[in-house]
Amino acid sequence: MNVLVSFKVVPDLDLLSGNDWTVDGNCQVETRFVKKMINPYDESALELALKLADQAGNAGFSIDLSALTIADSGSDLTLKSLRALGYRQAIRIAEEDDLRFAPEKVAALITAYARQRDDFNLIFMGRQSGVGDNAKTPLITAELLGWPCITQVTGVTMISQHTLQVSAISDQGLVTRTIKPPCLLAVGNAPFSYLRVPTLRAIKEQAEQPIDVITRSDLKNTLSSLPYNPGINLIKLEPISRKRNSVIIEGSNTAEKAEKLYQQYLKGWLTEL
Amino acid sequence: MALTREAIVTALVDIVDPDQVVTDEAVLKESSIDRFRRFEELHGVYTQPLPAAVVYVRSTSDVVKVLQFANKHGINIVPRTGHTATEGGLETVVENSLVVDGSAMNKVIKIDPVNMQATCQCGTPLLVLEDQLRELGYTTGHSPQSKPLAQLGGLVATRSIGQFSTLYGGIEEMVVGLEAVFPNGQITRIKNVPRRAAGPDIRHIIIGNEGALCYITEITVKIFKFMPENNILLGYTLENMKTGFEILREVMVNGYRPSVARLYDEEDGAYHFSHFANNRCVLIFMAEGPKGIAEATAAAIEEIVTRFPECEKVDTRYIKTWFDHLNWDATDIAQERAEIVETKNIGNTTEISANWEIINQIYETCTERMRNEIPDMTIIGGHSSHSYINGTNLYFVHYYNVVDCKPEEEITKYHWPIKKIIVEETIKAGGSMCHHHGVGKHRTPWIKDEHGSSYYILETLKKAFDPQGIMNRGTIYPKS
Amino acid sequence: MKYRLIINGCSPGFATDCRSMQTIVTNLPAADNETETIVFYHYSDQKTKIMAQAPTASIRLIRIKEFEADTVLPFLEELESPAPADLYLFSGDYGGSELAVRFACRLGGSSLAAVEDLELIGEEINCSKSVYNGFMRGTFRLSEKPYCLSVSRGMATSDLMRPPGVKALSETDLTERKWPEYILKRRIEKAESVNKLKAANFILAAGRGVKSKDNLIMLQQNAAKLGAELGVSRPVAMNGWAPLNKLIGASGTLASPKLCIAAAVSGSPAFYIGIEKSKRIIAINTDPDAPMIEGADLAIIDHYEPVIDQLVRLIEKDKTG
Repeated sequence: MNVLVSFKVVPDLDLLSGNDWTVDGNCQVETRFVKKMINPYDESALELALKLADQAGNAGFSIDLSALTIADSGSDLTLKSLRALGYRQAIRIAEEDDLRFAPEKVAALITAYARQRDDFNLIFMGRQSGVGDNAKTPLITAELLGWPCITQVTGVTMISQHTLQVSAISDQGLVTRTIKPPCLLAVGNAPFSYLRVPTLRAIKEQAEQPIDVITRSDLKNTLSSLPYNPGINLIKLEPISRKRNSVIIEGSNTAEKAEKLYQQYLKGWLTEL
Repeated sequence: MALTREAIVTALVDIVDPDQVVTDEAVLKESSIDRFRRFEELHGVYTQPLPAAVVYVRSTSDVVKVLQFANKHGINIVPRTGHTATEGGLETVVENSLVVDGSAMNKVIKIDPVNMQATCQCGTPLLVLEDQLRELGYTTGHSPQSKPLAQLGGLVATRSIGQFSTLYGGIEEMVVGLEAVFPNGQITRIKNVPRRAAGPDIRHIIIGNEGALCYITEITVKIFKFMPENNILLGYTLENMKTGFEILREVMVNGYRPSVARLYDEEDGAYHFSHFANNRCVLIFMAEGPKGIAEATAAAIEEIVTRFPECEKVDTRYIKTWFDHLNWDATDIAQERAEIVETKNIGNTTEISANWEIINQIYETCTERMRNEIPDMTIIGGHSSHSYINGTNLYFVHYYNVVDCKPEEEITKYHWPIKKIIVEETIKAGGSMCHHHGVGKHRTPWIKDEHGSSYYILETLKKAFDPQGIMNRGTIYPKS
Repeated sequence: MKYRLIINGCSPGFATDCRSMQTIVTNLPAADNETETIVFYHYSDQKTKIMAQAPTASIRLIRIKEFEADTVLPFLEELESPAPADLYLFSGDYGGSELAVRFACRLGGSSLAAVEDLELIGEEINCSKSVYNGFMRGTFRLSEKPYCLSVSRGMATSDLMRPPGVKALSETDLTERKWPEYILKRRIEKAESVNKLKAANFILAAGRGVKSKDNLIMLQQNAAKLGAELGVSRPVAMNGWAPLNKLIGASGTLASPKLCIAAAVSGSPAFYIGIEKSKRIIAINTDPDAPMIEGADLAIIDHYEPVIDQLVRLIEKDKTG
């Protein structure tokens, strides 16, 4: 089985405070200065693919893993870590355009790469990522590839060399599908999917090998036939304030504060329920 | 004849109020350890003997009664306040110990802006004191990463140090007067004076005793004017640690006292600053204080750094958000726990100190040996964060995947061998094996090597003040 | 402009989805012709029950085995492509959010998921939604028809009169259709038919400051004594301390209780969105700078356990009187 996991490194937005949320004339917010992390849904996707590879290994066959991102060189450290974890190929598509709200373009690039490689039969990616929050990239990628798609994936198990069991949340409940690839899996809230940590030894073994960096023109053969302009433009960006007139309940100890909360407010509010 | 657990508890509820004595099993389990054994704890494994009880003292007289009782019956006492210790100092290594928790003694007794002093009980959280001071325009100047959780008693008992120490000093420079209770019940109050020569400075018997000599009940610290508007942050990346140490030395030797002077190697830098470090070392300074001094300090540091052309200046916005989120809080610790259990990856630290001449050699030897001798390492790195005119500290950071081993074996397989390398290389080179976390229970095998002939002074203090050996057995002084 | 509504009748939120769709359509400029609703409904449901909820007078009923996007999509494409509408509104559940995007791809239109507000500007449309993890609102101009939007579940709903004389324009039975070829076996563990968090008047929400699964279990017991439904933030669910159906927030339930106590929750927007419609919010947190404090009506800066324990004691004392 040949697996591609597409991921994105994003700024840790919880580290920005009030004043940092200013928008410039290009509808941009300055996030360069905060620490980055792998988008949590993509992190789950990366770990689920590794767990699948573990299962295959235990069953006596191997799964080929590739990791792909569309980013600048800031993501290279993550790509090297992924190689150290067992991703045989770690590829970066270098792209200048502002892709925050352009999932159609992102999907086209991923599809173009997948078509060029022409050997994948399983693709994982997180259902959405912070900043864009488009929640469209996996769906459009599936459509462009003509592949089936399972959304809100919470877990994957190997049944045989060519079949998988995929659990996913739907509106009606937890659906478990036994499937045969090709398929695109859009990972949702998957418990127990923190990404494992590579050893220094493994990183050292990978250190000399450069990251595979490609550009849009390297993909022109497969990209040219794909729709690229989605007919959507961002026209305004503004911070959302979610404040209430909060009153802090003071007291000399915990019991006193709790008593105040109850007698002065909660008791009355409970009768209104 | 040793008392049974039940007899200990029965006696205690006569000495203090029954609701001050806790014997709930979950509480006893978590009270048998500190952060040193967190990997075991995360897996629900508790290898230390459970204490007989946790006693929440409410006053100095409670402490007197409990210590006298323990002294009479040879019961091991583990003094505790914020429970953030990292070196095993809070482990109850002896059967039927009593953990004496001072966190209920949490009053800020007096803030004195005329004499620039603040007095509080041992269970006052540092953050509470600091917040009260800041509202009035003052600061303690003490900012360890454990600030949101740690309390003054423990901070003094471990000779702790904070992020701004290069300007404000460690806790030993901040303490003015103290009150402590000794095992025989003697209450000793040391008064608040600016300086004196009335015999040796006895505060230093109490500061850093890690609960092995006495129980600290009250602390007075100096306070400083809080002038954050004058803070100037500077950041650079550079090729190697050797240059970084040279720059730190130049700054200190030429008389400058930035509040923050931190040098991170590539590994530790990658962990904290992956968004700009680019596999280089990172150097961070903060100049603080009255406007003229902060500006002069910053200008001098900039000039010193320009003499080292390999340094590249970094936009301080990259560093500011990191700095604002440096301290631990309860939720970070909780999140960390879940990730550790799942990824089986855990990290800890070993902090040492040494003179300028030998610090880089210690850094290189230890990191090289860890790389070659310890399996499954995922991060081997370190940073210097507290500098002096004659040297600096080094905070080794070591993360590893726990592979093929039971939770209770993690320490034997990884942590102790790592500490052994760092401690032995440091002592061999002439440095100190403990910069600011305290000896705890796990560096005691080397305490005699650490002190050499001066161990005579340390061991005589123990014989004099704790002849029954009831104070935190196994801390600083080896268990036997 | 021609509008079309597509709603997943298998979803537990069906009735609410119909109400919010009706509210949206009522606020749009009058359509060129009658707006139709397409409803996919579960074979075990009565079609009369479905028609009783209809947001428009004209409805097309599609009876299905279970909602499976790769079964429903080809049918929808076949039905609509000869004469597509200008604007398709899809319900904001998992099914609808998926359909909107994939359907737009097939028909060459523009799509947007979780739309919170929309405004027609001539033949184009402005839509706004949460971006940057809920810290910001983005407004987008769409220009390629058909516009396919899934509607945020948090959108305001007014209780309008049902349209009179609802009639089914067509009824199609897809229950005989096989699962798509790639699915060899399929089974479902049905969720409770009522989303307890969505229905709750009083929620106790727990964040990662609860520190462990055991602590969460204790909190669940206290929630029951308080008469509150327990919900959790994403980190708690991801640590496996609580089942996913207790997740509150942008990727879980958007609740609107009369009262919410948020214990040990930092209050990042992704979570807060899940409780922002609460009439009253009480926050308990040891960190005075946690965003949750500013987002609450009342706050106690303290450890949650003793506060909750004390509240339970006070409530029980009053009960026994």
